[in-house]
Amino acid sequence: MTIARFPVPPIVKRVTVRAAPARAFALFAGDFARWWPLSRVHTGPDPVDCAIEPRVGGRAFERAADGHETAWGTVLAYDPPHRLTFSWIVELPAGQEQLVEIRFTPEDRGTTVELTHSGWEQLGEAAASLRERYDRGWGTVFERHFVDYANSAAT
Amino acid sequence: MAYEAALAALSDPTRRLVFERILAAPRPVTVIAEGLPVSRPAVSQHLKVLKEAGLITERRDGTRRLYAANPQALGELRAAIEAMWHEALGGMAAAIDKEREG
Repeated sequence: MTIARFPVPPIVKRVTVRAAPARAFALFAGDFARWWPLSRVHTGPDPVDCAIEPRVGGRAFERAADGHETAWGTVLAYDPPHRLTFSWIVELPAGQEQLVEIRFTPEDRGTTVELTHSGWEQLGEAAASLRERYDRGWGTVFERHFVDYANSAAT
Repeated sequence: MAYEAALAALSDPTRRLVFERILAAPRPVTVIAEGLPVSRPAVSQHLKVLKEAGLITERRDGTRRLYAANPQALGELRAAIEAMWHEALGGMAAAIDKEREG
């Protein structure tokens, strides 16, 4: 089945945290499990851990209590302190994976961290409400949980 | 529900083969039956079921009958499947959305 592709704007969330880019990058990627609300936001049963492996080709994934791991995506760019990119395959059909990119830009008193979640066009008509949900979701998980964690860890 | 009839009609492998042969262009039963491991009357029977399910249309072209896929029925099938897929997407998307309430 071919679905017509038309441009759908990515979700873009931009925040500023009180940490230098290298620190902000480490807090985002290295401490992923410490700020991601895994007990509530996950895809499989009984999640106990989640991580982003620090290398290109590494995985973003969650681990269940029984050891079963569910991939969220694959790290495509691991470029501290500038950029982290991973595919986003959570609950998506094969071949329709999306992209999540985090960019870190130095500011006078910290770092601007910009999250871009793209790849909505290949999902066709179903993308609209899925995009709405992620739009609101990143608004909480990234803009609130990550920022709170980064600011408290940095000060 | 229209999509249920369509899914039921397409659950037979031979009938699916018959259906796939007329997706790209309308064809007469002789062409559809070519190379298929079933008799022409059997192919006609499959066409009848597909027609009853709304998946194909039939029209006269001189002395022969042409069978064509019905895009509207496929569109309905796609919408039904997408709705199911959407419901099944619950996990992460629903959870990340719900997180703003916490």
